[in-house]
Amino acid sequence: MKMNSKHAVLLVIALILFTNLTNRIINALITQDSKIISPQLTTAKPIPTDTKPSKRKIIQSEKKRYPLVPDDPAKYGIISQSKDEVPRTQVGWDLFMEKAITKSKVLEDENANPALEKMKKTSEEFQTREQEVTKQISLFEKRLEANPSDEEAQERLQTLYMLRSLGKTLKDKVVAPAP
Amino acid sequence: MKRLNNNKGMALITAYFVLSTLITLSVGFAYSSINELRTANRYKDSTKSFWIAEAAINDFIADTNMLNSGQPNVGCENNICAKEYTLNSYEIYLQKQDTASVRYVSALATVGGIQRQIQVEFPANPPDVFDNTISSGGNIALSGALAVLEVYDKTRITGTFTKSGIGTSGWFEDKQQGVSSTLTTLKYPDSNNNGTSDEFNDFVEFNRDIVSTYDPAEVVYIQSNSTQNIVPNTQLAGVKIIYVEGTSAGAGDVNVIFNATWQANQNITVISTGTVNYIQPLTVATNSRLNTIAWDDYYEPSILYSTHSGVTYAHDLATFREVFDYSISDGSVIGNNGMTANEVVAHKEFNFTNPVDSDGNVPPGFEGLVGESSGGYVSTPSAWKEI
Repeated sequence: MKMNSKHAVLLVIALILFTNLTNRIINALITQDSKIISPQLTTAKPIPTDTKPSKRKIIQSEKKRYPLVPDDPAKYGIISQSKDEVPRTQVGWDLFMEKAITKSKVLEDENANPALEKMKKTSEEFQTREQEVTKQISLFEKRLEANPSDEEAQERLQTLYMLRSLGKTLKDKVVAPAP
Repeated sequence: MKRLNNNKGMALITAYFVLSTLITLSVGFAYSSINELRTANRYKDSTKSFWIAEAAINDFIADTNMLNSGQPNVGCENNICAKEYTLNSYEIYLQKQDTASVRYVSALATVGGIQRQIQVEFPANPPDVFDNTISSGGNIALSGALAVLEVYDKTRITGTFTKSGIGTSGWFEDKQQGVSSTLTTLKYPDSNNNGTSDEFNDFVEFNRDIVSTYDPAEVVYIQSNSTQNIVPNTQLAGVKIIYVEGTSAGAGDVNVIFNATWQANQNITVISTGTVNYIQPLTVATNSRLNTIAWDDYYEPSILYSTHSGVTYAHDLATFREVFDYSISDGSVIGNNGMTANEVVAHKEFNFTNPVDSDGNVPPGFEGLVGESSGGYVSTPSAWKEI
């Protein structure tokens, strides 16, 4: 098969046209691309003055919530006392501390040692503390005798009873033995 | 009809056939290339918009006031403030929403029509009272006999400091009186949405909501009007909140006896709708803290040497009375209605320990409990996500 010169010229022209066309398309895309790669460093676009938060919303992260189910305090060693069960006397508080602290053996726990160590007292020092508490107790007992409806005296007396009972409970652990 | 007796035309047909095959292949190749280029461009635009959004978030971190109401081109609506601007000719839509416990900031960037949005969260800034050793929304009154009160770092008092008794003395490293109550108190938000904040029902709703966000294993929730006596117990290891909820204000008192936080690194908060009595406090385990929140008063008596570490918050009065020995409190004390100290031959010392951890987290139960003056952003976001 022989190709004459006329056909060859046509073929070459077609190839040139095709190559040119393809190049133009690809160049156009590359030029567009390079424009993106080299952005203008100016903020030419005017900032809208009526900016309103109407675009995509902020999504608030919702923390997972568990249903609230009341617990039994006893499960955690918490001692619940109704108004009538709250001790009103020194003896009552002594019994309470005995139950809460001594019988529960919390002072035997190794974690208790550093706390007890910090509270160490000589026998005389401990006695002084007890005497000061006792003095305050008799002060508020007298005040309450004079006015049985004195709520502040009642409250403070309860606190002082609690403190003295706690002191008695801790005594053996915090009073350093005589040298 | 003339009959061709040669095959010269075949060359032309063959040439056209070859040419059309080449054209088809070339067009296919070009089409495929163009598609790939478009995909690459889309990917590039997407990546670019992602990083532009990230840059906008960093813009905000560099200037956290840029979205405040009143700033140029900032619009606010329903507690959301937004601004639209361009960065290197790319469109950015930056917005923020401040809630009681979390600050949200989001940046939406558009490049070549492709949008990507990044959102970060900041924990709410701790209230100012967490910077103080003592914050008293009322007066501070010291009374007793041979009693010494010593306060290191900041003491902020809305009222005044007074002392009475024989041989009492008060020493403050940095004391300011007459300070605005917004800097000395913590108020509860309007959790029950009745239009009034800081009511007893707000307190109850707020704490229920906070407690429900904790794993049930970390919470002891007691509904009772009885007094609860918390004594040391191994069952309390790992517990973060003990919430005692009475049916009315002042009910559901709590006595914390001797010590309840014997686990190292345990940060536990006792919340009561009544009063909290911390009798003979001793928090000695490494980094352990016992925080208290009382709707009513807080009392702290001690017969022997005592140490307490944590935040003490009383919606009413914080009272340190019946103190008979050296007693040290490390942390922050907040008494919305004031503070009293009553000692007998004793020495009470207060030191400041930052209750906020390095990530900006406040102790359990205090999340979202902000003072009126609280604002701004902590330096590092607590969460990041693409939305």
